Amino acid sequence: MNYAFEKENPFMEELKATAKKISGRGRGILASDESNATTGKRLATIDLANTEDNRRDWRELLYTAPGLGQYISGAIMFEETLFQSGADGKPFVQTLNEANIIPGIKVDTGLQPLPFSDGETATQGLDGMADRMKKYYDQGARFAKWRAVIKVDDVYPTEKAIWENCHGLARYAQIAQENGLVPIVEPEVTLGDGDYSIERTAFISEKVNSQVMRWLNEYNVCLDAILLKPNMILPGLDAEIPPPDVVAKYTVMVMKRTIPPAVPGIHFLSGGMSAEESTLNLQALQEAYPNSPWSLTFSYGRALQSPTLKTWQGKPENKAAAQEMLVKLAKANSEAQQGKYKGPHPFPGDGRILQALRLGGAGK
Amino acid sequence: MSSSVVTTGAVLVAAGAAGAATAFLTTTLRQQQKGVVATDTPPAIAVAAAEASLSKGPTLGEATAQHLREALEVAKQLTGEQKAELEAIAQQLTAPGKGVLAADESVSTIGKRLVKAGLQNDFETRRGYREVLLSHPDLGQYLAGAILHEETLDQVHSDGRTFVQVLSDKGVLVGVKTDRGLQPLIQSPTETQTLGMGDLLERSRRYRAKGARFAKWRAVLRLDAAAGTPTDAALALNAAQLAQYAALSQASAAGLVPIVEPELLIEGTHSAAEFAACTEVILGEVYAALAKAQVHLEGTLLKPQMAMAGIGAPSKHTREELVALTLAALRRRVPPAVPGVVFLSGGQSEEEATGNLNAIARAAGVGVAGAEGEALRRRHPWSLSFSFGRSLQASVLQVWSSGGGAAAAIDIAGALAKANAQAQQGAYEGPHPSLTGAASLHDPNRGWQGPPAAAAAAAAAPPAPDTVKGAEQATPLS
Repeated sequence: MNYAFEKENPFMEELKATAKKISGRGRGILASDESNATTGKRLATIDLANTEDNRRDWRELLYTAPGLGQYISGAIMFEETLFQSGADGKPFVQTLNEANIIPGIKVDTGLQPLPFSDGETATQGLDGMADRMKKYYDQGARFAKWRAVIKVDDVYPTEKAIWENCHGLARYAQIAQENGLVPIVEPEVTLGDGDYSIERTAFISEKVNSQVMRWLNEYNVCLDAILLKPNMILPGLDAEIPPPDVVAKYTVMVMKRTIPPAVPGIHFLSGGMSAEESTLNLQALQEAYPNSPWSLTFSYGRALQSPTLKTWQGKPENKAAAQEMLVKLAKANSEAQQGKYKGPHPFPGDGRILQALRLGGAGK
Repeated sequence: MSSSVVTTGAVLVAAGAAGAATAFLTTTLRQQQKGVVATDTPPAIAVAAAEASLSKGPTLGEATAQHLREALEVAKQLTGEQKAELEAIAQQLTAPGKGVLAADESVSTIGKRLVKAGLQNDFETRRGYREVLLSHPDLGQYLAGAILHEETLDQVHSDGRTFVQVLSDKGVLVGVKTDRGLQPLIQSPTETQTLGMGDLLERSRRYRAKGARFAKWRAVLRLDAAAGTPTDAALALNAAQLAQYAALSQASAAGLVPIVEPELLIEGTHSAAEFAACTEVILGEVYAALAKAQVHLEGTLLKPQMAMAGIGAPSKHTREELVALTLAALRRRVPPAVPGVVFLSGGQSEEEATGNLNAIARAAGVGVAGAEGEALRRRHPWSLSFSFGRSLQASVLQVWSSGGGAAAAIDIAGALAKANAQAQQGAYEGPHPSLTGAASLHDPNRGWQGPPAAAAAAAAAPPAPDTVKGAEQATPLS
């Protein structure tokens, strides 16, 4: 029975406390766990080479932004970054902890196409994961992330793809809890091409969420010690962008139907939304469900990084301004999380980022 | 019973001809008692029927899948307007400061209690008893709904009004028990499935036409670690049946809000923690089934048991344990979309049930001031209330059956309802109006005869007079 597992796991109290702290109201997660390949693509947009130093400098800029910890409760890192230090020699893990930001680690090793299925994927990374997690815990990570991707349109997903992705998430989550890491469970119903309706996304997300919960229960994962990272409910990229209150209505409906109150935090991914859209939608969520049992908050990657990267341009003289931009964005989302965001947005011009399903890459 | 009769019965049951087996056993046993049939000659016809149907009958897995398929077919057709009406009824049922009276005991179950209290189990006695239960003028302040037995829907108050009218006049919603009792599973005889699906839609429609607005269906699970129950198969089947019942109840033709009751029996030697862990497994299965069948959760209620140590456990639970374990299990498995959880009282005494409900309410932040209360209420987004049977009735029956008079019995029915309504708000203070003290109201194997040995013993007792109007199945298992 699951009580035995919960009682026997020496990490259990710490796991619950960590999950509670990360999901505390007024803060969210900075997702900065892009693989080296993906990071390289980002750096390329500002004409920086994809070297270890450049990747390190970019992450250092993010993690040393003054005052970031007021609005950010956790930072997800890629493996390389977890073991890196800043220019001053201080490990990033220490820098983050000093800023009251809990270090996290991406543990999946990317997507793999499902055979005979047009664009559907499974997530890899279970082999040897327990050993890697022990290493990550020793280094200072206290939460993990695994991204499952489910393609949606008027035809997909297949039952097989849902099964495979939910099953993988549950296995990962169980192993994570066993090794002292709070699992962020990310069943991303990806914002894709086509004009499929918001109702279609809601229907599929509901199905996927309930199966995720079902599999987590099967594997005795303690729900008090996980975080969920789902997509907001949006129609296809070719459909009209719905206003925030419509997005919020469908998103809240799906979450209420599928996520039990024990889960302390729901940290929405920004996916293909623009930075401003991400903030406005987050604000609308609080208005749609002001007394939610779980924190309705964020785990944003590009919504926080893209304007910051553009401000930096890879130039040392822009570093302070870039850091300021990051903190302003984090603050805007912190306010939105509390239902207090009024605007104007620190970076309104950032258009919607088309999210293509990159095989083998991490995406966001 | 002779071994050859049992064997023939078992063959029929194994062939999936459970109904025929039951009828065969019942008839044969009664005939044996009357000396009609020789004790060691099974009727040839029955054996032939058994052999003919040996290959028929779905496996538990097939039955489970079929229930879910049929549920989904029906649930998919629900319109926005129908969903809105169901939600409105569910909201009314979960009104703050109120709860539900469960007065839907089957003829045989209520009969046992009437007989034990020295009364007759006949139509008029049952009518008179239900009248006393439903007559208090203030019931509308304490009850949002009352679950009735099918028979009671047709019965009339001595003042001329139907009981449906009596309740409607008080603003109390009328509910109906729509299952037809339990049946042991061939594959796992200490476990059961619930009967009643065959004509459920048609009956639900009829009940609605008579004024019912919500329904109740009781599935039963048994925790016995040594025996390995509840088995996955039994759990999956019962959850699927609950899903189909829920979908059919909500269907446009019926429009009844389904109370989903997956009762975990308190018989056993388990601790409260083990009970709670099992509850989590059960609730997980139930909500997975409801999700698969796309039942409209916002138009349902849940009726679970509070987390308790087994009747035969070496040590009893404390109130704090019960409260903490019960709420944790709900938080972990019940989605916020479910508007309300209404607890059954099981074998608790009247006073214990009220006290436990009060403690649960307060632990969920109801009646707790300030930021602390707010934070607690946030974590428990569904309303928490009562759907008590025995804990609202035991004293009433005692007064009424011992010549205390209808007025006194009505008074105490009101007092019990009031106490629990206060508890729902975390505001119960006492003293408790109960007259039955700390006596446990536990009914072992309520609703069925229990595992096979118990069934044989029970079947050997003289059958109760059966004067029911309407189509109540007269089997020893209802």
